Amino acid sequence: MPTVVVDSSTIISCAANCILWMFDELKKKGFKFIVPKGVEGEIISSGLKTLKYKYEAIRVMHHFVNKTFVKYDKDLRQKAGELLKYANSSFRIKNHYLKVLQEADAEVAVLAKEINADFMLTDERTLRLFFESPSSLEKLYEHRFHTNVLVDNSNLAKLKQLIGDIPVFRSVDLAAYAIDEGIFNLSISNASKYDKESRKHVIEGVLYALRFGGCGVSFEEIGEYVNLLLRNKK
Amino acid sequence: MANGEALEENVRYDIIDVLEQVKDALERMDIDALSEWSNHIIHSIAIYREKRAVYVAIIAYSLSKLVEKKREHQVQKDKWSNFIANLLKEMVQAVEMLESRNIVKFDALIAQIMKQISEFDVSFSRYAEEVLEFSKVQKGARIYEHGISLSSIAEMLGISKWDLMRKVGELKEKPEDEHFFGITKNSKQRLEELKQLSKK
Repeated sequence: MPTVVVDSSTIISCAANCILWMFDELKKKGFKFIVPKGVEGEIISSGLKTLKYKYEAIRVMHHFVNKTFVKYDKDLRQKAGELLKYANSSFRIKNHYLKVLQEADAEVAVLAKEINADFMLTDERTLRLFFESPSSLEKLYEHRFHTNVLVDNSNLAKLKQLIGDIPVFRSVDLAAYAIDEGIFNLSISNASKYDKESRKHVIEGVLYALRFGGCGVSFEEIGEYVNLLLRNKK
Repeated sequence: MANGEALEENVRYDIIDVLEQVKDALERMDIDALSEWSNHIIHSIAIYREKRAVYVAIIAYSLSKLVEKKREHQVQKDKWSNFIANLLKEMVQAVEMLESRNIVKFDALIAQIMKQISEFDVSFSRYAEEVLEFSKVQKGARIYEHGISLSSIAEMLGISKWDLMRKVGELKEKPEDEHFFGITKNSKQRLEELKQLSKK
């Protein structure tokens, strides 16, 4: 079963919507979720420092304790630094390289390559596009900064060598998969006592909640998932 | 604070321009203009990672929120007039300091303005979210629209990724969002791919 590296953004979207239990259910099916040390700090340490997110951090903590999320302790800073060097000198605007990624982002990418993960989870659009389509990032920058963007293809190529071809998914994709696999069937069955369209409500409810929790997904993509999952009823 | 570190010329001009416009907008109590000018400087923040540009954006946005709150809440007239008069005077000084490249004094003055805004907000508002913190998160979401990662923004603004993600989730979709969301595969492809990978 797959080994998956998880970024803080995905854990935050799921924690904010109380669906971290989905990871427990997937673990029972054999999924292994690995989290870099820096990412754990971004979620738990920073959450514990604020009154607003303390309890959410505690809920995430629980999933480290029950070993659904396994922390990867090895120091990845050197490799992450190398990756950052290329990522942050790939796009140039007004004679300045855009510093787009940060160490925690780089650690996720480095760890995925290091352990030969089957895929990576991130709700962070910028990191995902580095893997899937750097040319989309170029278009995004041109569109947002209203100016020409110079792309350093040599640095992008070096970056590509470092990160490899690991597939990237978001919380929304994982939740759609989980719904398709019947993991949300109990919620659907309970909701059906109130409304006969419970399956549709649960699908829309979960996917839109993740979108509003910060997952980089469009309404159009969610609409596609809703239709797909309603057709694939299990 | 940036503590007198060098300031890129492009950014210096940008900050001077924005401060002058913010001062004019504040004189007119123009909430929309204050908010708009806080976004104007986002490019400088994203390209140059310049903290002073971040502070000026936060000041402009915080002021738009304070003027808005003032319309809804009772504030002692003298207290408000003194607060605004002081700010206008300090904005003129800030521009002069930048024009004469007195960066050390400029940094100290910006810190003082932020402190005044924060203290004034606490004194007349019982809002749960303090205006400066709220503005940081708001501006962070704007920077994210420009393709900078959440972790980078959280680090740059000193805010929590928890707050930032919540705010990013509230961003509205616009016609150009094909770029914003970076749609590279359709949902059917993603689901099929995930099913294949889960069989491994």
